[in-house]
Amino acid sequence: MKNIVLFLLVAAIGCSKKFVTLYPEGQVNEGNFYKSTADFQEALVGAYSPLRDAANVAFSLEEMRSDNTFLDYNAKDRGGSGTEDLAEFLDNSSNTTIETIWTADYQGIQRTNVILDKMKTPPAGMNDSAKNQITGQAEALRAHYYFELVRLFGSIPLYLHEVTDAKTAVVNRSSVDEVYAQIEADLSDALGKLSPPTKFPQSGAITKGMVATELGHVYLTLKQYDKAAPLFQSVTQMGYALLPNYADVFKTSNKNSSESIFEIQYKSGTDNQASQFVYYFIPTTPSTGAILGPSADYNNTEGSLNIPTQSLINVYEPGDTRLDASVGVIKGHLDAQTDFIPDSVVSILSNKDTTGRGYGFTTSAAHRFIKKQYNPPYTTPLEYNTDDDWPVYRYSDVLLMLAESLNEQGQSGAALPYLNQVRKRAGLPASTASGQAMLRDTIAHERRVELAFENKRWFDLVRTSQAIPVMTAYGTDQKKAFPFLLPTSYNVTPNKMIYAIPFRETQVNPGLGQNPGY
Amino acid sequence: MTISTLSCKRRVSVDRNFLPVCLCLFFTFCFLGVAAQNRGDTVRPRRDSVMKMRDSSKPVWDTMPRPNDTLMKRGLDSAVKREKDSAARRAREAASRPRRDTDSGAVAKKDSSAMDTSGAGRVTGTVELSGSTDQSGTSVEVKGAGKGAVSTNAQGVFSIRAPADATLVFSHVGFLTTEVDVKGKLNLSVTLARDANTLEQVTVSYGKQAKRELSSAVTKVDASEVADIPATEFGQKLQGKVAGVQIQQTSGLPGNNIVFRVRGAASLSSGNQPLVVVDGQPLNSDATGGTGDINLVDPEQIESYSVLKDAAATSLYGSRASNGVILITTKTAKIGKSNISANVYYGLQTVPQRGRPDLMNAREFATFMNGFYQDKINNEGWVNPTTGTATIPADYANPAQYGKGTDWYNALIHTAPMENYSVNYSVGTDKVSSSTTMTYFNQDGVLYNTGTKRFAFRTNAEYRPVSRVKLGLNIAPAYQIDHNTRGGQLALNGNRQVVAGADLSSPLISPWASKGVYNLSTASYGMYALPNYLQQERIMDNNQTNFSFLGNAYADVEIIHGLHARSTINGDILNQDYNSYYGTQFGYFGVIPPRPPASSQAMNNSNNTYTWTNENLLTYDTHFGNHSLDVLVGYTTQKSYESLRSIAGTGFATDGTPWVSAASTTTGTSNSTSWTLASALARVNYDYKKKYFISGAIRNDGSSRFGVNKKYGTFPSGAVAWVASEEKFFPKTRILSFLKFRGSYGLTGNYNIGNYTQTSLLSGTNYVLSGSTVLGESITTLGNPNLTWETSKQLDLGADLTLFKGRVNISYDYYNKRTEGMLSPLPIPYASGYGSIQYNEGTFRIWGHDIQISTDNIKGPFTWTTDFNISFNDNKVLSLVNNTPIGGTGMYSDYNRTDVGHRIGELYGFVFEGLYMNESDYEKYPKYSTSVVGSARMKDVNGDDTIDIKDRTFLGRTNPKFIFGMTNNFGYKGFDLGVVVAGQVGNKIMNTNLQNLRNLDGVFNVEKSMQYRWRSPEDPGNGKVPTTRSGSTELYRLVNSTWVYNGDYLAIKNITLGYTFGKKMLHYIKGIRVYASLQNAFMFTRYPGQNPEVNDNKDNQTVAGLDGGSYPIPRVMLFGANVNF
Repeated sequence: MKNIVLFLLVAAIGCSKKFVTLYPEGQVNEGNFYKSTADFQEALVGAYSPLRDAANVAFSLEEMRSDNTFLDYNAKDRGGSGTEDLAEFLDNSSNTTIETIWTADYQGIQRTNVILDKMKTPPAGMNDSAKNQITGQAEALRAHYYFELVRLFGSIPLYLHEVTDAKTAVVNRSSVDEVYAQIEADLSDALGKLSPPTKFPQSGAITKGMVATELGHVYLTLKQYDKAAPLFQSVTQMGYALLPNYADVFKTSNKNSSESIFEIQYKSGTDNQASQFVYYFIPTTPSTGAILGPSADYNNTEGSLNIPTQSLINVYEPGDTRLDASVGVIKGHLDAQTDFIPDSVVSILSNKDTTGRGYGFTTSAAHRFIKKQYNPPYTTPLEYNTDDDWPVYRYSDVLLMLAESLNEQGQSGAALPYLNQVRKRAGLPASTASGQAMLRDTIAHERRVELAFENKRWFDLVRTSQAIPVMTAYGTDQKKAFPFLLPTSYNVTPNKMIYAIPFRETQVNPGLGQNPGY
Repeated sequence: MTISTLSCKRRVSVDRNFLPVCLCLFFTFCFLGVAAQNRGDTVRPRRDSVMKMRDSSKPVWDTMPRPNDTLMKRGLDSAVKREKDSAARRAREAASRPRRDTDSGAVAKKDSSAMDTSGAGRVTGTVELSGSTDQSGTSVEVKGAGKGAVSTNAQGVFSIRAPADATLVFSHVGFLTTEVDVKGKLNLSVTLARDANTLEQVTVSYGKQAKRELSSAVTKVDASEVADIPATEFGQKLQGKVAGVQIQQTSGLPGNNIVFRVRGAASLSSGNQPLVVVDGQPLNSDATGGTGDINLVDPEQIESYSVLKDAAATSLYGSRASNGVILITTKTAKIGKSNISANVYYGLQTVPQRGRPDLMNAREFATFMNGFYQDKINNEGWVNPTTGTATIPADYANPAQYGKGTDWYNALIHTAPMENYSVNYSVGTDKVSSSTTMTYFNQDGVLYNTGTKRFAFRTNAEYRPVSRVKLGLNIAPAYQIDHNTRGGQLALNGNRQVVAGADLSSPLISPWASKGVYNLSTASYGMYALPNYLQQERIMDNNQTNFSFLGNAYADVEIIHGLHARSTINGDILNQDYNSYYGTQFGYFGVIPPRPPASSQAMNNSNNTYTWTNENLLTYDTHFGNHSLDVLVGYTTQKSYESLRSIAGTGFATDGTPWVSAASTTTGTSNSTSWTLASALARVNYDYKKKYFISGAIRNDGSSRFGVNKKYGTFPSGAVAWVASEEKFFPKTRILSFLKFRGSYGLTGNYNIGNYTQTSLLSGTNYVLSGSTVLGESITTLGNPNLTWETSKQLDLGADLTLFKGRVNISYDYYNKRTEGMLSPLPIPYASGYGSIQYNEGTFRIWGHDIQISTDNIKGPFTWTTDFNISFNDNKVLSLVNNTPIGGTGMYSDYNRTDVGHRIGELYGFVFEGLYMNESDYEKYPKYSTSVVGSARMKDVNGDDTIDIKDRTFLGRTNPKFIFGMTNNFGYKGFDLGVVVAGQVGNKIMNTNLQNLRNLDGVFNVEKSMQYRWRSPEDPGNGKVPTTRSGSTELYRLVNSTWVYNGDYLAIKNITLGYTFGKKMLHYIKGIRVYASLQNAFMFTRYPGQNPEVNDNKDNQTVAGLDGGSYPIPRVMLFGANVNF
C-alpha cells in the first residue's frame, strides 16, 4: 500500500512540468510568433508605428527650438513648462520630451533589430521579393530612427541586434561618425532592395524614393554634396511631381500624393490610428466646437504649442501663397473664467498683427496657428482624433536639397531651375540669385517658408552652422516682446546644438555619461 | 498504479479539466483508507506490541478535533496526552456501547480485579476549570493504575472507581495537572488552574501544535480578543496586537485599505502581503498590490488567527511564504455542545478635527492673489486681458469683502453609520459537527455617496460516518457591494482626485449656485480649471459587486493507528462586476462640466476567477518511550484561472440611460490569465521528553510563473527548541517557571510577479498603409526565461519565558533575513526598446527584534491584564543588478529611490536650503536653469556648482525604527474595559500633495503659510516661501525636503467598555454582554496630515511613505451586544 502512495506522489511530480508550464492564451508571445512570412510582415508594420510616437512630440524639439514657432504662455497650467524650456533654451536632462522621442526612436530600432536578426533564418517559403521588401524596409527604418537620434543627441549607443536580457540591454555610446556609417550602410543596402513607387497615391510604405532622399539628406548633413546630388537626381526620375497648389499638399484627400516622398500615416476613427496635431496647435481652450466641429465641443488642455512667430511671418514675400496656406488666425472671445473661446478661423492675410495685448498672451482675442494640419470640416464625434499625416519628405524638399547640393559644389546655374520650380508653384517669380553665397541664402530662405512647420528649420540651422547667430538675435527680440521670459533664457551656446541625454538613461546605464553642458 | 498513470496522462492532455483528476485522486485516497481500515483491526494488536503504543483504542478523530490538525501533536506525559475530546469521547463510548477493542477490554478487566482486591469505591466530584466556559473533558485517573481514566461531563462532574488511599490525577489540556489524595472521601471538588504555556493549541502550517512545543516564531490571536473592534477587513482587528507585524490602515476608504508587513518589507515591488490561508486553503490574492480578495473574508466567521513569522513556521508554504503567513481558522462546532450566538453593533463615524488641511480661507486667498497680480503688474508688465489695463482682477480687488468662504474639505464629509449583524449556530454530536455563521455588514463612508455592504455566510460541517473516517465540507459564499470605493476615472484617493482636488478649489466660490443647483466650476480668476468636487462626489456612480465562494471538502482516513491519509479539494471562486457611468455633468481636474453627450461614457468590467487546490497528505504520529515523532508528506497542486472582459460605450443621448446598451459607440475586449503551482512537501517533528525539540521541513514548488529554465525551487527549514526549565539542574524558583530557547533557519520564496512575465509578449502595434489600418505585432514586454522566485534565508533566535506562576509571559525573537534574487522590474535603458525586465535582482538584509509581553497585573474581583509588543525592524540593500538604482530618475511623480547601501524605497529629492534672498545670494550660490532672485535655493549635493536633477538625494526612511502596541483589559464584576494603543517611531512621510498646496502660480488655493512669500529684497517674507515670478516657480514644485515629515505617532486605537449580565437574570439566555466602543479614539502625532499610517502605494515598498491626499480615517462610536442562547 505504501508503494502505491509513493507511486502516486512520484507520478504526480513527474507530470507536473506540463502542469506548471503555461503561456498566455489571450496574447501573442514569442513562443508562437515569427513563424511565417505573414508574421514578419506584421512585425514590420510594428516597426513603423514608433514613427508616430516620435512625430507626436518632434515639433517641440525640431521646430519650436527654432525661430519659426514659439508658444502661447499658459498662465493657468504651468505643468507644461518643460516644452517651454525647449523653446527658451532652458532645457536640461530631466526634460520629458527628449525622453519621449529617445524612447520612440529606439523602440523603432529595437523592432527593426528583431526583424533583421530573425531574418537571418527566414521562415520556409518566404520568397525573395518578400525577403527584400522586409529587410530593405527594416534597414531603412532603422537608419531613419538613427538619423533623427544622431541629429538630436550626437554620439549615441548603437544597438544593432535584438535585446534579449539585462546584459544586452546596456550598450555604450558610439561616435557620431560610427552612427553615420551605420546609417549610410543601412540605407545603401535598402536602396538596392527596394523599388520606386509604382502608382500614386502610394501606400505609405518606404520606397526606393524615400531611401534615396534620406541618404541624400544624410550626405547633405555630412556636407558630402557630391554623393548627395546624384541621389536627389535619381529621385527626380521616379515619377514624383509637385502638386499645382501648395495648400492642396496638406489636405487629407491628398495623402501619399505624387509630391509625397514619405509621410507618417494616421487615420481618424476608433482604431487608435488617429493624429491630434491640430489640438496641440490651437489655443488651450475649454471649448473647441466652433472650429473643430459642432458635434464635438471639447476641452482642449494640450494646446498653445508651436505658434508661428512674427519673425517667420515677416519673411514671407508679398504674394507668396504659402503664408495663407500655412498660417491661420483663430478669432474668439474671453469667457467668464477669462478663458479663450474660439469663434472662427480667419486668414492671416487680413490679420497679420495678432501678437495679443501685453502679457496675458493666451487670453488675447486672436491667435495664430499652424494651418497645415487644419482640415475642416470635422465630422467625427471623437476628440483628439484627426486624419492628418505628418510629412517627412516632400518632393519640393528634394528639389531644394538638390539645388543646395549643386550650389555647394559650385554649380549655381544648375541649381537655380530646381529652386525655381518650388517658387513658381508658390506663386512667386523665378529667382535670379547669382553667386554661390547669395543662392545659398536664397535656398535657405526658401526652405524656411516652403517647409515651415515640417521639422526642418532647426536641423537646417544647425547643419549650416547658423543656429547660434540666428537664435541669439531672435532671443533678444523675444525677451523684448515677452517680459515674462527669464533673464537666463535664450542663452544659445554650442552645447545647445544637441540635447541632453535623458537623465533616466544616464542612471540606468551609468557608462553613458552626459553631453557637455548638461 | 493504473489509476495514477491514467491521472497523469489525463492531466497532460486536458489541463483545464484537472479537477476530475483530483477527484479521482481524492477517492483513491478514500478507497485506500477504507481498505486499510478494514485490515487495520486485525493487524493493530501486533503492531501495537511491536511499537509499544499505548492506548490504541482511540477513535480516529480523537487526535483531530479540527479539520486541519492532522499533525497535532499529542502530549507525551500521561496528563497532557489525554486531550479533552479524546477523553470525553471515550467516556461516551464506554457508556453507549461495548468496547470493540479486545486489548482495552483485557486491561479494564485487570483494573477492576485490582480494585476489588484493594477495596476500591466509587469517587465522584466536580472539576472546575477556572475561567473556562466549557467545563467538560477533564481526564481523571488513578495515579499509577495506567488505565481506566474517565472524563468529566459538561457540568464538570466525574465518577471513577478508586481505592480509598489512591491519588487522583486531574489533567486537561491548557490547565496545570493536579493530583489530589482521595483520603477516603467519596466526593471531591477540584479547581484546575490555567497553564499559560500549554493552554493554547496554535494552528501552524498543515496542522496544530501546542504553543509550549513550538520551535518557531508563531503568534496566535483569538478572534474573541478583538471582537469589539469594528472592521470591514480582518486586518484592522489585528492592529497593534502582534509583535513584528505592521498593519497600516492606509486610508479610510471602506473595504480595501489594510496593508500588512510581517517583519518589514520582504520584497521590493513584488508584493509584501502575507499569504493568507483560510482553513488550509491558500487564498489567491492579487499579485499586483493590495490585499486582493482577502478583504472579502468576513471577520465574524473567524475563530483565531496564527501569524507565522520565521522560515521554520512558513517554509511549508514554499515559494510564496517569504512575507509571512496568516493562518485563519474559522468557527467550528464543539462535540457535545449546541450554541446560538448573535453579535450586533451599530456605530457612527465622524472625521476628527485633527489633521484637516490648513488652507487659506476666502479673505486670505483673495489677499494672496491680490498681491500675486500686483507683483505681476510691477515686475512682468502684466495687463488684465479683460480690461486691457494693468489692474487687479475684480475677484481679488477687494479682499475685505470676503469672510471665511467655503471650506471644501469640510464640505465633502458627513457623519455616517456602520452596522453589523451576525448570528452563529453550532452543534456537535458524535457523527456530525456543524457551525453556521451569517453576517450582514453595512458601512457608509464619511465621504458622501460611498460605502460597502456585505452579506456573508459560512457553514463548516464535519461528518464521521465510521470511527476512522472524517469527511468535511465547508462552504462560505459572500456577496459584497462596493459603492464608489473602487476607483474610476475620478477616484476619491490620490493626488488631484476628489479629496485632494477639493482642497485646491477656490474658497471664494460656494458649492451651490442656488438652492439645489451646483456651481459647476470652483476656479476664481486665473485659476486652473477645477470642477465642483462636492458635485462630483455626489453624482459619482461606480459600483462593484463581488461574489466570492470559498469551499473545501476533505476526507481523512486513519489507515493504521497514527497514520492518516488526508485529501482535500479547495475551491475559491470570485466574480467581480464593475459598472460606472460618466455623464454630461462629469468633471475632473482640468475639465469642468458640462460635457457634450457624445463624450458620456459607460464602462463595464468583469472578471471570473476560480482557483482550486488539491492537497494529498500522509501523516504519521507516534510515541515510543520518551520520544515523540510526527511525520508529514504531501503533494499539492493549485491552479488559478481568470477570465476578464471590459466593455465601454461612448455617446449617450441622455444621462438617464447609464448603460453601455444606450451608447452610440461600443468597444470591448476580453482576455484570460492563469497560473499553476505543483508542490511536494514533507516535515518531521521530533522531541525527547518534551524537553528537546527538533523539526525539519521541506517543500519543492514548481510554478508556471517562472522561466522555462527555472521552474522548480526547494525550500528547506530546520528548527530546534530546548525547554531549559524542564532540566533537573534548572533552579525551581517561584519567579521563573518556564524557559524555552528556540532557533530556526530556513528558506522561503516570493513569487508575486503576476503571470507570464517570463515570456516575451507581443502586442498589437498597428499602422496605416493605403489608408487602412494594418495589423502589426511587436515585442512589447521583454521576457526573462531565467526568472525564478526570490529566496529569503531567515535565521530566527527566540526565547519564551514565564514568570511569577504564569502571570508574566515574555516572548522574544531576533531575526536576520537575507533575501536574494529580489523580484522586481529591473529598469533598463529605454534605448533597449523596453523600459524594464522582470528580474531576480539584488540582495537585501532585513533584521529586527520582536518582543511580546503579556501580564496578569491584578487578579481577584478586579482584574487587569496587559499585552504589550514592540518590534524593531530595519533593512539594507546589499546589491542590485548592474548597480542600477530603482526610482528617483523622473522629475515628476518619482519620489523614492532604492539604492545599494540604503534602505528599500527611501524618499528622494532636492534639499531645500532657503531662497536667493538678494542679488548677493544669487551671485554666491549655485543656480538652477530658471533661478531668479527670490526663487527657491536647493542644495548643490554633487558640488558641481550648478543645480539640476543630479542634485537630488535621500531624504529619509519610510519604514519605522520600531512599532509598538499595547492592550490593557480591566474587569470588575460584570464590567470590562479594554484599551488598545498602537504607535510607530522613526519613519518619514512625504506629503506629495504639497506640490499643489504650495504651488506659487496662482492657480490653486494654497497653504496659509504661502502668504509669507518673497516679494522683493525689502519684503522677503519668512525666507522659506519663494517668489511667484513667472517661469521661476517650478523648482519649488519639485520633490524636495520640505515635503518630508516625521511619521511618529501614538494612537489610542480602541476603547471598549462592556457589561456582562449575570446568568441568573435571564434563564433562557446563556449570556448577554453589551458594550460601547470608540475606534480610532485619539491620534497623537506631529504629522500634519490626517493619517500617519498613510501609504498611497500600499503594497509596493519601493514607492512607500507617500501621502497624496486620501480618504479620511473616521473615528467610530459604536454600541454593540453579544448574546448567547
